[in-house]
Amino acid sequence: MTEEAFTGLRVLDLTRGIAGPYCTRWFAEFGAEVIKVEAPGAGDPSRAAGPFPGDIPDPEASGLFLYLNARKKSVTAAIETAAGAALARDLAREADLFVEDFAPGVLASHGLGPGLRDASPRLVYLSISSFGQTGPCRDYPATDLTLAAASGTMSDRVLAGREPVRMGGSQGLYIAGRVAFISAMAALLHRDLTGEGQWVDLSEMEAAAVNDLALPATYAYQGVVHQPRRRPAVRGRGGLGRYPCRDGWVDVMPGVGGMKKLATLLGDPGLASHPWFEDHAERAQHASEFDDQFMDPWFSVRDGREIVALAQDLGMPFSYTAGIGDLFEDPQIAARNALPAVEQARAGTHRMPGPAAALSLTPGLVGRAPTLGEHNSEIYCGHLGRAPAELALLRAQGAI
Amino acid sequence: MPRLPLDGIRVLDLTRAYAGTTATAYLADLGADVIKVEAASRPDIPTREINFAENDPGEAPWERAAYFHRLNVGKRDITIDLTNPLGVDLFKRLVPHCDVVAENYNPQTMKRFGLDYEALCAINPRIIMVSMSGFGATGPWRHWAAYFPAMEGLSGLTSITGYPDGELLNSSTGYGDWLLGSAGAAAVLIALYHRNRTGRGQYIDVAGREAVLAHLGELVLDYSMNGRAAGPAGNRQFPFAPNDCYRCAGDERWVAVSVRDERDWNAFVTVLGNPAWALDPRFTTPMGRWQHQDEMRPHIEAWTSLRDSQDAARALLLAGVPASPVLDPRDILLDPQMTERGYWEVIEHPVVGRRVYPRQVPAHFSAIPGQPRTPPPLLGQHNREVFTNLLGMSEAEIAALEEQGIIGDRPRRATRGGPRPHPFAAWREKGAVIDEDYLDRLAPVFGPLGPSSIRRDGGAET
Repeated sequence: MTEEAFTGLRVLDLTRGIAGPYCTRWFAEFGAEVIKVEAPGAGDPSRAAGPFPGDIPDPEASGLFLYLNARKKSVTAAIETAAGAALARDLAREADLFVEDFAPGVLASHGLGPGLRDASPRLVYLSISSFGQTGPCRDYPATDLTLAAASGTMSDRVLAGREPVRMGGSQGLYIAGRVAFISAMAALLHRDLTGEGQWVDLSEMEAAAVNDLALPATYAYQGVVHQPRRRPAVRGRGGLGRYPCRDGWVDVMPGVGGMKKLATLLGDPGLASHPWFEDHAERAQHASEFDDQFMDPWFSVRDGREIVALAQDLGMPFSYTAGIGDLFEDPQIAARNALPAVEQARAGTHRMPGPAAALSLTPGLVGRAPTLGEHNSEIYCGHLGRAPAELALLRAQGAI
Repeated sequence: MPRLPLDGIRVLDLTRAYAGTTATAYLADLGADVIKVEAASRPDIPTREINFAENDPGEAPWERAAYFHRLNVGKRDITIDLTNPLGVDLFKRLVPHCDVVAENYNPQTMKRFGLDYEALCAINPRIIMVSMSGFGATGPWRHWAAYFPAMEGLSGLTSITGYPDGELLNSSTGYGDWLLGSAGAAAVLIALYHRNRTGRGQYIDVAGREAVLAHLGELVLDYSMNGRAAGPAGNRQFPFAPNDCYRCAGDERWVAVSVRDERDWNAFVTVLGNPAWALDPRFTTPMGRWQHQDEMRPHIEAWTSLRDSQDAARALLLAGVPASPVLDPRDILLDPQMTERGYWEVIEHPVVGRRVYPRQVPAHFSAIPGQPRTPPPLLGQHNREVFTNLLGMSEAEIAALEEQGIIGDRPRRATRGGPRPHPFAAWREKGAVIDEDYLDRLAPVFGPLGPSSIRRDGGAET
């Protein structure tokens, strides 16, 4: 049996969507028992988000849900009812970590706020919200797009005359989930030192903002608000940047001392003594001619994969722009089993990303996501000792 | 003083440039004693040779560099030349005193130094080693190198980032580096938790490309389920519509708006003053709005372009519609939400004076109120302290190391033609916006900043 880092750790998960579930996915992946509390009926809204096999909606087959909730257990509890909130409170008593992503103050009104720590001083209570539990913006709603705008991370992702664009997918919410995981780990390690739990307040906007090196640092040191930004398109110049090739795009990075290698790549090592190769300033002055004469003719007749393999063998960190489908035929991903196949309850067997880091002793495991309320009996009867008849009653009342 | 989560954890930090350095920035922020290992013959050039304070390389440019400072707050700094066998011996003497070794060299380099996991483990069996590379330490591409465009490009992220007409963009923020670093930090915390319970260390292999891929789960599943590879969608995100940035009054000011559902739409239309265009049958259903987002833009911009981006966002937020001005770096440093929450910390550096840095772990911890951090270190600043206190070396031994060139506190050679200021005049011609009075603009919130803020009373350096 694989050794797991979080064996015995119990996480009670009252989160929905992306950031919270991605945070607790890390715990499930590395062996914690993660009990996800969903609303009876529809469950986590990500069950309705898709993508679905054949585009046929099915709450047990939504790709977003299946990915983010791998290896978790699902129970249902209507926390806005007294009976449902009581179940969640009982589960919290058994938990090491409580993670929630409701609007600030909502869970406290159901008796499930950070005050739970009064009865369980070792409990770590993690609140994830758009802007944090304090400050003038704490009650504002947000989406991945408005978080990107508010975190200051999209103002230079723009072409001349056009609107700034966010990154694809839901990067603001994912990075918030990862920083939430790091924050939860900090509190659990602090508990190892002191025996005490605590309340951790994470702002998704701040988590997105902190994962940006350049902009605030260069303003505070140099006053740069915007780098030169009248670029009509992203194109490499003078042997650096993005170049079109026969089947797509290649990011060209000769690296330190790389112009000699670039000459070799282009099939003529003798070019290294050409003034445009030897002298950076010369090349910058004749960038367009350099591209016309040396780069474009060679790149335009070759595929990205071929160019990158040749360049990397020469020690140049080139890359091509892979589509999502290319990953399924990628030899490195295959060798590292980075997209393992997982059989789901109703969606069939599909590949999804594995752990983001390979730990030699406790490697982390992928697994299937739970169906809605799949673990009600196991958790409520097994863990909490409720009678099966009581469960039936709670079901009839709509509490589970 | 409250104990920090990583009190007592010592990290030997061989990381350079961006990605790996962000990992140890997380660990330093959580209270680990991070000892950054540079070399006088090979300092952390990529971050020490650009973006100088006041755009002035000065006499010691390597101590004036914005990125180095941003990434290395709270760390200590020593120099060891690992290309010299005596340097490797010196490094090995530190290993028993440490819990974590972090590195982001090419996967063969640590082996070449004789410092791979087996070697470290033989010295200290409890050691946790984290290696961070573009593609991982195994597999046919293990010798390939990568900067952030490669991690983003080869994970599929670039293929879905950009304008719907096909113009692709990378993050422009080094996102791939940040994901490699945050995955490394997260993995070290997992390994420390495990070691607390079992006493055993382990080896961690993080691939930047996989660290990005972990944030694309639903897109991978769409391909697995339906053979559909997403492309660039601009700001669109199903089923929200409209969901985009709209031009506001002023130079390149924008407001981002997300209409999530019918309730948001009704509130949005009310804020805009119930304009007639909103009754166009193309726009009265969510699916209609999704299909006709481009047609809505001129109508929406007729309202936003007359307004300040802050005012437009506030009106929408008060009606419950997600909205935000697209903040630029100046805005974000002065953002009231962040300043009220203490996101920024002002730290005094002996060369560049008081400056503003974010907390790497921005969460608020009820049991650990934000502790002041030490300034970003000078090159080799802690050689004496570390070699004396940890290894019990004498002054004579340290002087010998200096003489042999194994340690030092000045870079031994210039690279890349040496440090240069940015050509701001040329940048401005190409549309750059650069403030001259940035220190004064920040001062009302953060107090005096910059070189004139250095206290000369002898008590300044910490």
